This record gives sequence, C-alpha cells and structure tokens, in this order.
Amino acid sequence: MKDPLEAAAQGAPARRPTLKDVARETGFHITTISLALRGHSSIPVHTREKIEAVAQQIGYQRNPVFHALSRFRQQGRVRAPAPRIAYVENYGAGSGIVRQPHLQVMLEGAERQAELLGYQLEVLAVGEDDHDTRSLSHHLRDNHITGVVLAAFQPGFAEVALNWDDYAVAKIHSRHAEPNVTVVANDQLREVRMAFRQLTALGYQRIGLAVGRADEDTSGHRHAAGYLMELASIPPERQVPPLFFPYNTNGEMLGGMIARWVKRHQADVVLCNWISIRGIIEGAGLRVPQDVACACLCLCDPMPAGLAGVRPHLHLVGARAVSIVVTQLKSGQLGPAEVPSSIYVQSTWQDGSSAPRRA
Amino acid sequence: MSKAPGKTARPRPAAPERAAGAPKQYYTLADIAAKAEVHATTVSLALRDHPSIPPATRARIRAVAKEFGYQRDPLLDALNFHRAQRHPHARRASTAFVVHAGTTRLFSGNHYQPLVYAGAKAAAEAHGHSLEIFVVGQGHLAPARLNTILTARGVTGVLLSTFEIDIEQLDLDWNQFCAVKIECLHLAPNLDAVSNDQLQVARLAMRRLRALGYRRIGLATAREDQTRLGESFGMGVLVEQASLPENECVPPLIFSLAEVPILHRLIPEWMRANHVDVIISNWNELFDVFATAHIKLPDDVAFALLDVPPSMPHIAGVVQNHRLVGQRAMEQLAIMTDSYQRGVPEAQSVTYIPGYWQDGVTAPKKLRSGVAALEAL
Repeated sequence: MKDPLEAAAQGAPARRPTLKDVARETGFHITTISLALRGHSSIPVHTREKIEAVAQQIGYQRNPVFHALSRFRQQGRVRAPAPRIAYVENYGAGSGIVRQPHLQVMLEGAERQAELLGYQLEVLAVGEDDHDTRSLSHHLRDNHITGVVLAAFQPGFAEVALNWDDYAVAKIHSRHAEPNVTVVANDQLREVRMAFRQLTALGYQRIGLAVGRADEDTSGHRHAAGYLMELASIPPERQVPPLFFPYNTNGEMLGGMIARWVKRHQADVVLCNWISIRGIIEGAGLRVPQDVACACLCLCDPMPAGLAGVRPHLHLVGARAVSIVVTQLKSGQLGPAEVPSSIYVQSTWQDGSSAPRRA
Repeated sequence: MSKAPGKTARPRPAAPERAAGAPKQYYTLADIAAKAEVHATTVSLALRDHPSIPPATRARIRAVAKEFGYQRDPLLDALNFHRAQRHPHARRASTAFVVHAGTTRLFSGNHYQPLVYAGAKAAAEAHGHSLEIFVVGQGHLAPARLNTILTARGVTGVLLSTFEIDIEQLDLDWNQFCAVKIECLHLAPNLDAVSNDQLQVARLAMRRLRALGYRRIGLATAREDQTRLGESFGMGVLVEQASLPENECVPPLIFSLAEVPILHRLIPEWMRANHVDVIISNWNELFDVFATAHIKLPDDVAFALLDVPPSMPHIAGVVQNHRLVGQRAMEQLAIMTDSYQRGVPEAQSVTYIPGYWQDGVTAPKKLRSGVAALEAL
C-alpha cells in the first residue's frame, strides 16, 4: 500500500501502474498481459506466473470500475447496470429482527447518496440466519462488489473478516469491529455536552446519563467523554454518576435499573439514547416530567410526541459513508488507509414537554 | 444566441434513432438536451446543480431527465476522473488557502502552517486544482475585498486555515463558495471541517506514558487553547483518568495567556502539590520555563509534548499529522467543487485525523518504583 504521507511528500500524485507499465517491464504485449492477469488458458503457465510476479512487484491492481466498463463495452452495450456498494448490517435481519428506526434513516441517506452518485446500494445481512464471512465474500466476488459500508454493527452480534485489502471500506459507528478504517458517526460527544448545557439552561440541577455499554463500545466511549467533561465543570454535590447498562438489557429491566438509579442519586432528568426512554421510565412507575424529566440523545422519526432531546442527522451519516467509499473506488485506493480518520456529523437540540423549563 | 434563460448555447438535434420501433435502452445528455431545447453542456451543468444555470431551468431539465429515466453513469464518471488525473494541467480549478493575519502566536517560527499547506498543496495538484494563499485581517485583506477578488478570479473553493478565537466569523458570500475549515471549529459559519484529533492525542499520550511506568501524569495547557480546541486535551485526560485509580488522577494546570510570565512559579508549585512525575503539554515554550525554574528533565520531572514538531525528533510525545489534515481537507474540497456543493451544509461534519507516539529522551522508561519516586519528592 502506498503511504499517503509519502505520496504527499513527493509533491506529485501517485500514479497507479497500468497494464502498459507491466508490458514495458516484462517485454510482452499489452494484450498478453491482460489475458495473463485474467488467468487465460491461451497463455502458458510459466508466462502467466512471470507476468503476475512483475505485476505484483510494481503494484499493479485492476481497477474494478474500469474492468466493469470494458466488460460491458465488449458485450456491445455502453451502459452497464449501476455498480453496487454493499451495505452490510448485523442486527439479525434473517432472524426476524426488525431494523430500528434510526438505522432505517441511516440506510435511506446512504441509498439516496449512492443513487445520486450512480451506484446501487445492496443491503446485506450477516448473522446466524444470514451471511457468514465465507458466503459474504463469495457473494461480493461473484457480483464484482468491492465497495463496502459496515453499517452500525452491534457488539455481541455476528462479525465478518473479509480480506480487507481487496475492498474500499468505511464504517458507520462499529468502532469495536474490524477493520480499522474511516469511521462516520453522529457526534455523541458533542451531543451529550449540548444536551447537558440545554438541560442546565432549562433549570435542571442533577442530570443523569444512561447509555448502554453496547453503544459506548461502538462509539469509542464518546458519550462518557462528553459527560465527564461536563461533570468536571459542576460542583461535586450536583454530579450524578452515569449509568452504563449491560448488553441485551430489555426495556423492563432498564426501567427498574433507571428507577433505582434516579432514586439513589436524586436525578431530576434522565438523558438516554433510547427513543423509548419516556415509556420505559413511566413503565417503572415514575411520572414524566413530574417525578423525573427525560430527554433522548437520538431523536428520529417516528418520534414520540413531546420528547425533548438531540436530533442527529443520521441520513447525512449514511450519505458520508457512501461518499467515502465512492471516493476510494474512484481513485482505486482499496484497503484500509494508513491513518484512518473519524468523521462526525453534528446534531441539533429540540425542546419538548418531557423536559419542560423548571420553575 | 438566445437570451432566454438556460439557452446559453444552441440546441442540437438528438442522434437519429438507430432502428425505428426499437425502444432506446438508455438516454444520454444529448437526448435530454434536444427535448429541453438547451445545449448538452447546459444539461450537464444543470444536473450537477451548477449555480450558473438559473434554478427554474435546472428544475425544467431535471424534470425532463426524470421523465427519460436518465441516470448519471458512474463508470464514465470514474473514467473522466482517471483521465483528468493523467492530465493534471488540463483543468486547473483555483482554490484559495485563507489564513488570518492575527495567528502569529501559533505560527511564529513554527512547523504547523507550512505542513498543513504542503499537504493541501499536494492533494490540490493530484486533483488538478491550484492553491493560492490569501491573508485576511489587520493590515491585509478585508473579508469583503477577499470576496471580490475570489469572485473576479473565478475561485470557488476556499480552505480556511487556523483563525484565532477572537475572530468569530468570516463574512464571505458563502453561497458562492465550496469551503472547508481547517482546525478553526469556533469560526462561524458551520462549514465542514478537518482537524487533528486532539482528544485521541491526549488519550494516546496518557496511555503511552502509563505504559512507560509513569503514574502521576499532569496536563498543562492554556485556557485559550482549551477553548479553541473544544477542550479536547482536557477531555482526553479526563476520559483516561476515569479508568485509573484515584491516586493517579492529577488535576490539570490550565493557565491563561496572561499568566505565561509567571509560569516558572506556577509549574513548580503545581508539580509539588500534585507529585507530578510527567508533564504533558502542547506548549514547547515550556522548555524555557523549565530552564528558568531550574527544573532538570527528565530527573526532576519527565516531559512529553502533545504536538512534537519535526525539528525535535529526540523529544517524547505525540506527532500530529498536520500534513494529512491539509491533504484530507483539500480532498474533501475537491469532491465538493466537483459536485458543486456550495454554501453552508445542512449539518456540519468534522473529520478528525489521529496522531502517533514518538519515544524520546524527555520521558524515558521509568523503573517500576513509582512509590519510591513519590516519596523522594
């Protein structure tokens, strides 16, 4: 892989080696090279091996986009069907689990962006009743798919181990999962800080953060980071220790946990990333907002009426992930970048009756 | 030439149908151009939302394209990109690298600005853009003047490099420009931005120093830097401290710029009060402070920089990828200019570039006798 820093240092764009370069190095004709690299039987085995070795040595890689283009030209059609980008999820679609609304918003944003750029998004699921690594890599190979978005992988569910060097990959959240590539996410750190400040401005004194450990792991502990920073600026008597609830907590368990935690620490508002937070608290016998107020860190449609909180722009998260993959496909930079970056899309606050201004 | 909106060039007839009766499998720009009675180039611009085509014309052309089921062909798109790369001088979109005159404290004799610029410049050339520096502020260009110059020269891409925190906004007619900010997250409007990942930098420093055997790691930085960087250094330290035993948590020393002359007193006091065994800071000026206060490195205290300049390969700390920040910013801008995404986005997105650790003489591996060292103080 070409070191991006080094390429930049030379001040010149790194030119991808082409068939012509392989031809010049080996002394064979360009058509021989083309056939040999596709493993054509008309080329003797030892010639093929020689050519493959040289191609590898000078770093020749087939550009999948041009490959598709020339393939369809040969078949007498100018326009090929839209090339596909795989949008891989692991929440367990095959086991009958329904895609959560926030994941749906992300997917729609990704689909729109892919269409805008002329690609087609193929939604693929991995899991016990879906693809495993083997069948997924076969499917991608058979369909000439080299662009992959790993979309909001959930920890504790199935994972995949593709040969990442062969793909252009971007992740949405999924920090716990391989590979180490560019991550696109909503900015949980700033969301927590923004919510904290908004609630403080509304007159709340004891703000409690309740986030699942699963979400902490996929976000790289960015909820905690934002929360700790806000806690550091308030006196100790107003600090409520955060509640990080375990993997696979259901609504009822969470309700009990939150109710006990609210009581123990006298929290006056609960900040949680679950959209069902109001129902969960009320299910545990507390009145919202009389006993405790609440706000959601991840508001998306369909939205419970009157719920206050942070509205992330998840469609932009999906769109940015597709853009990153398309950029890599366009320039043929497959495989994880030397220095993967993180892209955070900012969110907006929305008032609601679940957290009214306090007298 | 017609004066009617959108009719900037004469329409051409569509290519004749090959076989009568056989329905066309796909439609090209020329087909849409013929139907909409505009030139094919107008269609191309309109479908990419180019601002030079009136909105009404754009809408009309889009409607025709939709009726025909026209879709951009990503394969041809990729081919164009590839061809443009091979002929870097065929198309030189001009991009402005805007810096503020008042940022001398950050740049004086400093490594930062040239590196960002070099990274942006290399990426600009790879994408067929030229990059030109403009300085705004006291004694240089006023924003309105800059706006005029950029418009007159047909510059549509703008990279905004570091601005001081007292400059809260830059008034350009943003709808005319594709723009990306570098570092200056505080600067209005909320354009997309690229920045070093200062949170990761602070966390990485904490972890590496702990692995080297240090147990009382103290952050010293300026309040102005904290504000400018969204308190990222402090936050990184807090996040790491959250998983450390309480006796390893040192409260940071956050000083104001006005306190810089008395740092040689503040730092030893803070060190003694908190038994600091290693100081982390983004201030390489602290070397002078240590000299004035007769603090010997690394005997009295170890020291790691949060932003080690290339000129100090022997100093321990985190090296920030300023060059890559410039490069990524320019790459993003190139995509935006190519697809005419001008103005302030619906929601800002920020790209963070991580740094990497460098061992050095100022923070050698510590023998596992942290307790003994504490008592010696």
